[in-house]
Amino acid sequence: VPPGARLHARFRGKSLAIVRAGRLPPREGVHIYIFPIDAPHLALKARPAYSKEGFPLLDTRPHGAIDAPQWLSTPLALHAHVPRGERSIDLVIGEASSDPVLVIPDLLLHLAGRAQGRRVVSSEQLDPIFGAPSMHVHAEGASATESMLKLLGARGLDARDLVDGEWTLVPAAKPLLIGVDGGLLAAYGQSHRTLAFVAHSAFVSDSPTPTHTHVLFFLGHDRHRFRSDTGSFFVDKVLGRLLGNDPRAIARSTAIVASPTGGTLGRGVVLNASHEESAPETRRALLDLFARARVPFQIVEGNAPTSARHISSLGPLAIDLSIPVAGPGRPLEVTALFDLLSARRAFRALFAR
Amino acid sequence: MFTAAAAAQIAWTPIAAAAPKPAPAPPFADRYKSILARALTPSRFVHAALELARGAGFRAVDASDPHALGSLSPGDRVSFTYRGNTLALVVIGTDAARDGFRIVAAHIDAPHLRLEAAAIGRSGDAAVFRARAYGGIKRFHWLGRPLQLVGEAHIRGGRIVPIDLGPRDGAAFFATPLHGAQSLAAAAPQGLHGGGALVELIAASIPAQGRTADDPLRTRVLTLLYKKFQVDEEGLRSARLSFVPAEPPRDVGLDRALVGAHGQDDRACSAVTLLAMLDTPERPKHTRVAYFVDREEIGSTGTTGAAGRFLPWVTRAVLRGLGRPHGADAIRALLARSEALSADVQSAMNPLFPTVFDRRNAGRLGAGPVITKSSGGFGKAGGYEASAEMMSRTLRRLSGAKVPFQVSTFGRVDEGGGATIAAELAARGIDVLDIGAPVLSMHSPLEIAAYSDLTALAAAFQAFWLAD
Repeated sequence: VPPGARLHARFRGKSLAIVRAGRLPPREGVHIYIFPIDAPHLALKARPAYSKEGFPLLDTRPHGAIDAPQWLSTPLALHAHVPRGERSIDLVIGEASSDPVLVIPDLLLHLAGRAQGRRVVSSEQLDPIFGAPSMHVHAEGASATESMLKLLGARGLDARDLVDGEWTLVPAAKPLLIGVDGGLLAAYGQSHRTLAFVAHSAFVSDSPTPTHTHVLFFLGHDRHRFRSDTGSFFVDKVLGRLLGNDPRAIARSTAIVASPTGGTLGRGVVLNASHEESAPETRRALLDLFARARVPFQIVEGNAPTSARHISSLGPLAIDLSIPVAGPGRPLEVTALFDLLSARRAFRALFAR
Repeated sequence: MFTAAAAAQIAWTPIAAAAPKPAPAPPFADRYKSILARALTPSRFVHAALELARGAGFRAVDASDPHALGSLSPGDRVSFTYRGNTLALVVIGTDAARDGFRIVAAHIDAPHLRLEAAAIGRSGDAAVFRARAYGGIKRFHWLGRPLQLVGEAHIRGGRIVPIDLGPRDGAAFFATPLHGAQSLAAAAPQGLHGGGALVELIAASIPAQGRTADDPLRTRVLTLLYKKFQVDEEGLRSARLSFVPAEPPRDVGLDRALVGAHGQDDRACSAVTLLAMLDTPERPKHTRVAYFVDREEIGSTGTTGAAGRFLPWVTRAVLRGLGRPHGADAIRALLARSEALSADVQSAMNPLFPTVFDRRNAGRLGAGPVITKSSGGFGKAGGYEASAEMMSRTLRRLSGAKVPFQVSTFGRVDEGGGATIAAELAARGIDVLDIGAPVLSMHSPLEIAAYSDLTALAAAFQAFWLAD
């Protein structure tokens, strides 16, 4: 692989690795970056459609840690991916402004005093209605599943497709700038995807060939579960191809894991100083780099486990780098443009190593 | 009295007939959503309604000016307004109002966040707009959801400046705290309700450049507001500005049978009353009135609320226009001969929280307009009870016109309750009955109604106006 070359590898349609070869060979160590790209959402259960009190509803379970009450009374879009041999049926309802949306109806305030006094809603209760209560359908004896498939139209879907497909509900909301100065950004899925976007756009822009080889992983693994086919297996496989089995190459490599670990909006990128994996030498190197490149940063003592420990067990020293996100697990998560620009500056400096 | 067969007729098209792609929304749905999208506040509702009424031949009159109206005769159409926040559309009947009015009354205010007079503050790293709840809200609904700023400022010299600031201008407002992953529902200082507590919405978060004596972030907000609207901090002190959800009304459900929007309590009934009035071309025997009031969510008081002077003034103007005695006794006598439908939304069975409803007597979405004989909670406290005679007349009229309806109660007896403007109308001597569209998620930023109930409600109003 010649210096400066750009390569990429995909895996199972969910994960991606992109590589920029440096002037030095990979055995001199590579810089690894891990970006999870999944986001909290509601997934349909295998037999989702049911009716209750005349309403047709969809039974869901949360994927990731969600702030359950915030998913009430908010517009949701339905995304489906149904494999059909080599091809698939893909369905999106609710993202276009003329589309209908699905809503999980909250209880009215007037009757909520006792019913919601202790807990507003359980995650098990988060089931959207997908139509009006249909006396006609019930008179005809049609099941909720039949109604759902009919309403989805003549796409050739049947009940089995609800079992083996991926059916997800996400907020039907466009990204928005907040405040008269548009200094904040509200959008779905920012906890992980925002930093992945910033890094990706900095990585693919024109820049001189770096000293070392850089590998960016965008992983669609299950949230908080790095050990999986599209997570640890894929990372191990790509690194194995790059570094061979040379312990020195692994020892000379570094890893940055993009996991949100807190921080205050508008004060720059966040370095996590809490884990055993956040070795002082890694931290020192990053702090020196940020000082040289004038990257605004903050240090937090995050205590939630991240993927950094798993990466470290693969060999390289790993550290968590992120931007602050307000309201993780809510339909709309908030970031500050100042932090996005700080992160861009940080990644440009990192990618030049 | 619930007639499932009739409801099915109006409410349901067989699912088997559904087209592969969702069918285009029917014209009623488009008209309805366009009114809701414009009528973000009471004054915006009045403005939009006046525009539509002018097109339908209504003469516009200020209700506080006794000489504004000339003489009236049967068939005449007049719109009365007061302070831009309450409205009555009147069509004079062939009886020259001798049998009283047939009034459909709905409120045009809705729960939301209202900007304080001390509008701009500071919270952590951001400048914030300071707001408080208008009406009953669940605080957590309004945090973490994009809001737009709408209303008007009264600036020096008496000039009124309309203010609209939302996603279309590249700015939405958010009340989310800038740090912390705690659940907003748990973080609400006063639990679920907490409506009285201050809500801080992020106004600006990038410090202004250059040297200023004042807080740079506050300066940034004020500079931007002045540039866009020529309104300064002094102007904000005398403004009526509301934060309302930035999401426009949407069809809900794969069958598009439902509509989700903010403020359907009670602008669902208001919009339907307006459309029914505009769509009733007949020259009526009875004088029909569509009456829109403000301030229901905060007690119906004030100049533009149902307890205000507006309705007696309208009555006086009509009597005077018809060349009849129009003193206090004549006004009282006319109103005592009048009938009214108090058109307000009603709670509908929520399948996720069925235990707070009385299953046999709960209103059902899609089963037609809900008639409520008695409202209030805990022994009908704070509510109103309609007369059996008014119930009987109304049910007969709706059945005669083949309008589906259901008779329901608000919820289980001890879980809570609600009231409407019915008692205020009754205090004028009017015979009143509550009727309205059933809704889900009432008082939330996204309330849900069924189109079939809204069209049936319009038919119910027309049946009421046109019945002998």
